[in-house]
Amino acid sequence: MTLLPDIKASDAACCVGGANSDASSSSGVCSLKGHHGDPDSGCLGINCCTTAASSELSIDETSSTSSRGSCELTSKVTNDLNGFQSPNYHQAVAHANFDHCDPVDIQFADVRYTVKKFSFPERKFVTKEILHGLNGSFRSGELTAIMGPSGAGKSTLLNVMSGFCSTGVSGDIRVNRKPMAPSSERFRQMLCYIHQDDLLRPQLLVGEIMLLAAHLKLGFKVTKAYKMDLIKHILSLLGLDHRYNVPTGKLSGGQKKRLAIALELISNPPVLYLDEPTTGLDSSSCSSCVALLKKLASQGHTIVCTIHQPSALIFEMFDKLYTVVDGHCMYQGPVRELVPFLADQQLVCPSYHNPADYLLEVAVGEHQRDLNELIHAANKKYYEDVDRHRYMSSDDMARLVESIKENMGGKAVVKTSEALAAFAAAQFSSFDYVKPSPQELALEEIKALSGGPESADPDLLEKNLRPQPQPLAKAGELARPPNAIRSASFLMQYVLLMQRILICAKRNYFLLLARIFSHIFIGVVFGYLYMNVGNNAQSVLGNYVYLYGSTLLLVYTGKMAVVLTFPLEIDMLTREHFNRWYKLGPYFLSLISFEIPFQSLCTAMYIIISVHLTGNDATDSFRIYYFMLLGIMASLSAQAWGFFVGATLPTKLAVFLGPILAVMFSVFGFCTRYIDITPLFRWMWHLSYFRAGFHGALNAIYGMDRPFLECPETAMYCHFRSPKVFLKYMMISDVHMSDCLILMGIVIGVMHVLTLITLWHKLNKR
Amino acid sequence: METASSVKGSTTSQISSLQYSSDINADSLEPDQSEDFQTVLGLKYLPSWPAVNLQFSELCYVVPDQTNASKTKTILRRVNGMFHSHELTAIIGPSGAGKTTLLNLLAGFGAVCESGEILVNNSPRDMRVFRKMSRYIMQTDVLDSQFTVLEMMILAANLKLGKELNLKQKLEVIDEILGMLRLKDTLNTMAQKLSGGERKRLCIALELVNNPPVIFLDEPTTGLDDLSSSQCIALLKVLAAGGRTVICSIHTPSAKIFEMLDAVYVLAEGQCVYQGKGSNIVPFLKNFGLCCPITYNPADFIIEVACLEYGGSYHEPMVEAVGNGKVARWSPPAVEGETTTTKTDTTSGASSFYERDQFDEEISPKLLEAKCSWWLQYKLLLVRMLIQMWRDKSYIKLKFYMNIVLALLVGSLYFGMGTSASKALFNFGFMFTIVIAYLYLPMMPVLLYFPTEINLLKREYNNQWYRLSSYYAAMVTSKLPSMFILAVIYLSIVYLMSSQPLEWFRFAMLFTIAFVTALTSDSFGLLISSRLSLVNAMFMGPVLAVPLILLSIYGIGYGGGTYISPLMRFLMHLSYLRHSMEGLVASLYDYGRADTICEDTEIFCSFKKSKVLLAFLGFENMHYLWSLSCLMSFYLLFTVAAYFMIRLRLKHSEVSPIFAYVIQLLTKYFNFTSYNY
Repeated sequence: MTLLPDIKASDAACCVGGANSDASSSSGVCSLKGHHGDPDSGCLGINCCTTAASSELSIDETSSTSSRGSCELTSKVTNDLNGFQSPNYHQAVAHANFDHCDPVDIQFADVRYTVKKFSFPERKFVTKEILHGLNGSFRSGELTAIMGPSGAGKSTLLNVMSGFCSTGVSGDIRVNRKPMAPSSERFRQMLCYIHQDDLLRPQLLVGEIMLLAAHLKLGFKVTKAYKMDLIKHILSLLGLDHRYNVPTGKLSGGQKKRLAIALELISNPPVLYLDEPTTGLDSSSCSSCVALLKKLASQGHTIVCTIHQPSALIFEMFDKLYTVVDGHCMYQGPVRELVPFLADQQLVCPSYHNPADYLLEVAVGEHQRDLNELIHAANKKYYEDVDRHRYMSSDDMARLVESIKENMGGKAVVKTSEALAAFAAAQFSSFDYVKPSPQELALEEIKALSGGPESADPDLLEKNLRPQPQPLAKAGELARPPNAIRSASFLMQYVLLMQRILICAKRNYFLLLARIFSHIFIGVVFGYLYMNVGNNAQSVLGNYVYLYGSTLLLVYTGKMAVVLTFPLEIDMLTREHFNRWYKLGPYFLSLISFEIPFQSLCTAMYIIISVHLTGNDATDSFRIYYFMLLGIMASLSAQAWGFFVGATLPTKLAVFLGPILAVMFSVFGFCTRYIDITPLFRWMWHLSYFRAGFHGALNAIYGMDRPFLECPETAMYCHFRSPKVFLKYMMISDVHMSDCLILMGIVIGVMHVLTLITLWHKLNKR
Repeated sequence: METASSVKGSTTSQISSLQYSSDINADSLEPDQSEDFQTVLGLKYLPSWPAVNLQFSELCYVVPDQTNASKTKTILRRVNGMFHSHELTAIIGPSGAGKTTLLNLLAGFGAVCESGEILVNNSPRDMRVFRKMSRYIMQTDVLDSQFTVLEMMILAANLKLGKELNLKQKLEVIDEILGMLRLKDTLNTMAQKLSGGERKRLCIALELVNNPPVIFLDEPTTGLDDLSSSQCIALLKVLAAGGRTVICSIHTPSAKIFEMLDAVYVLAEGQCVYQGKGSNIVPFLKNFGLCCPITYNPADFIIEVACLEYGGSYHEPMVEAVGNGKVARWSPPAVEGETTTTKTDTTSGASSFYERDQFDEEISPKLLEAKCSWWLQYKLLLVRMLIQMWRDKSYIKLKFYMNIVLALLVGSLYFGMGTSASKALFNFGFMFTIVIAYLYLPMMPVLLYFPTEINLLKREYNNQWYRLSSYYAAMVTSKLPSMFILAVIYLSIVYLMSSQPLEWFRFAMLFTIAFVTALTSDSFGLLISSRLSLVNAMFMGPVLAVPLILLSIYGIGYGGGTYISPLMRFLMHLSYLRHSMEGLVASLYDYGRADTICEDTEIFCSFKKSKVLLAFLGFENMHYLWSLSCLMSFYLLFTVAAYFMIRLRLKHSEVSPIFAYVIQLLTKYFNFTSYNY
């Protein structure tokens, strides 16, 4: 019984035209060889039979040639591996862990999805059902395509099955015949969702982003050598090994698509969902992408993707087809049975027509047929397939299938003790069919490699095997993947994300340079405009305007730099978080750990330059430090507001409302006094961080018992010679430094907490 | 002439019957097609252009390489070809093959070829005449969301047909066109409510108003579902059968769409690998040992061959077989006898039909005249913009209420400050808020909406709807009423609440300065957004405003005795906000204003007299008329500069080598990253 999956894998590997130097195929052949003992003729015999079968099945000569060539290459690789001297234990374990994953079959019955939206004409919430009681199954080892016309519900079905949409979903979804909610944690551990558009940071190299994903997903209990071997293996499998040191911005469309798949393969999820993986690619990229997916499916993965208008060459690569029309299933079954199925319904596909295009023409009603008949025929075919599978199972399996069928009929199944006993019996009986664990496969591979007389020292082998004890397989742990490794901790996630931010900042330094230079430039301009106004009693108002302009500049640059770039980050955060790369806390902490020091640095540079030029540094130095601290706090308050605005509003509205709010709040403190404000708006005075920063700066420069200012000899009388007179005139003599700092600190803390809550709500409630 | 039309009509009907008889749904489609054919040929009142055959030879197009400045990349490599009238021709090929480049070169849409020539009816193409004959329909549908289908069609008819036809005749033309394109049911539907297919057909209908003989479409089926794609191609076929030359680039045609095409032009790596009927692709590929399986779409198959999916040795033989487009219509050799007699008859009939149609008729000079005068274009566009502004109800309410809220807020902040001597300095702040308000409030909406509006302008201007000057004049004029009303509301509220002197001439002076400031800020925003994208404009606008704000209040507090250098004085004159501040201060404090009231709580009021305050603030040398003149000059300067910037952008002129070199240096050394949302 153990031979069957390996033979199937070899056969599938040979059938894939592009698989010419596949490690999976070689390891499969080695396993086959190991089992037989003296397998040379047997192995070649099986390959010859496969070649003959391919020749008979192929409809043109090209496929036969490809199959024959791939089999020869497989034999060649096998011969090369026979001469391998010393086994690489880490490499073998990495390959074994990656090449085999536990089979996961997903069955769903009566799946419905409803959305609520507000109807303005009727002035109430209207419930609309999008998916109408869909049934089906996605099996391991199969590449399934979900097709249908636009607006039929393809992406909706994918989102529902992956848990990307969880509210409004009803129905029975089972994984390996056990009920499991798509939004539960155990379900999300075994799947990943790859979106249609690729959002990659263009500054990172391919190797760097793969290593980062490996660190985040596999944690640090796994050694780096293991990770590097795994990364090289995955990249070579996907044809990206020659792109290891290339920035991701330089990759082509097809390569970006494959890199997005490679990043999710690091944790080896049994189930992959892809939303239109071929959209936007040209013909050869489409072919290589679908061929890759087929290779992954042959290794035991369950791959489901929505696809739009595939060509016939790509259509033939799919194992199974699931067609959705207006929320109903119109066809479900193997791809090669599509044309006979349509012929049974008196729909004949013309010559030189793509069956996929013809199916879509039928789906949109171009052939004047009643789609309900097709939907009923599809349901009937599905039940027949279910009945066909029943005869292959034991009596207990038959009982479970009958229970599922009754559930589909709309009846409520009461779980009695007998059903529970059936579940226990099913688990116990299915124990015999569980494939060997990856550690066992690794052991067998090492034994096969070291079968010759020149094998390594047995003590060394035993020493290597000792740190990897095989865990006991319990019945309760069957649903958990055996190679589940704890992901990185909070601190390590934070460190890794911080490294990524620093690398991106180092390579894309134009924006950062623009921010630094703008601060320096405006600092010089301000300093020149208000040169030597700091100690002059006649130019107190000039210095007043300088302090106001400084606060306005720091508030503006602190906010706008974040508002522009943060909405783009949210898209990357959404999908990386859904695919369980990291948690929200480490991400946000690393984000503000970079922005806060950088903005503080820019502020400090500006203040140092402009304070020196305006002559405000002629007096005590502690006033400069106070001014710098207040400027930094005001800038960080505006930055926290920018994060919140960027997280809440779309880009256009955020960019529009950011400066409007900044200018609106900047009126308080500059042109008004507290006593003159209408009582209705006095609360704005207290809440304005701009006023706190501005008044604090004024108090730092002119308050705290500053001595008299210099009065030029040409002037007869200087009204503001004493700083106290000026502060009293502006009615800010009772401003306390601690009040300003506390207010701005509160603003920073509250806005960051609100941003975190908003992001958490966006990521978890969908 | 009547005899020729009737003969042409009958022949077209016969060809249509022959072509559609092979379709499964021939019974249901044929009556509609017959009716449509009568409608097509019966398009009365519209100018009749001669049929156009478009021929090109040795076209070559190169672009600079993005990563290496010294190298170039060849997009089109000396391709040839011929597109016939009465035919729907599709340019297909893999990505990067040059389909859109070829289409743009033939249409003259922003690209100039390095070598080669383009013939129109066997004569070298006159670009000025050809622009009036052809229409280019873009891939993205840009439509006004505030108008119904009928209103858009009436506007297009008024702009294109002018006063030659009266309203009743224009409505007849519109009815015929919409009936042809199956849009009669959507006459009173707003453009934003149309479906994807309906929007595409409306874009075609708008360009059919003056009956162009050549229509270019860039990927008309992208973004549509399968039913809309089939309907769109079927309607293009009807348009082509009516005597037009329809050329479109299609990404991946399905088999049903592929069967509807009259001719196919396949590009791969900048060269032509096939030109001819679609049904001959299968025997064409068989010549090279490539047998198309029966379950394959021939269009997909030849594109996959062009993508080197079946090996790289087929590209050069295919290019040689068709002579890189020199063979205008590839057909299998007759001696083999593989083609059926039906196809032979169809081909022969079509060829004889096209031969008879290639008359070298002179284009009537009346066709080249502009149908619509400048004044009529300006009037029509002004009415459209005003209606568009009026129908955007939510935006009008937003602006109205925001102005009132801001006015009440500012008025409350400066309540009663105008008559108080001890608060004279803060009354100066009140005038500063007016300047800040009329800097940002007019500028930010322009930065937000104009980058979207320019797409619509680009489409209509390039398809010869109107002149740019009439559009620009209408755009500038249409903003005046709303800005005037909002300014009256805002300034009245803040003027009264802050207790400024109740003299009509002072309010009129203040209003004039504020209004001209708003107009100048609007044109300043227009100047910025005419060259930048949305995000860059939103960033650069406020950034450039900061120096203007600083210079507007420079020098306060220095007193009369302080010397201001000539350089700084010159820089202050460059800021139009400085002139606004001077004008506002002059309107409130100059011309012999009475002394302000000094409250009992104050011991001494240093700014009781206006002269002292003006001297202290450094505004003693100002003059109201001088400030107003400078503001007007800035307004005119920004308006004219924005017009030339927009004109430069629409002309698609080639980028100067120095600018391209600077861009490459920035990209190479500074990792220049532009945000293109």
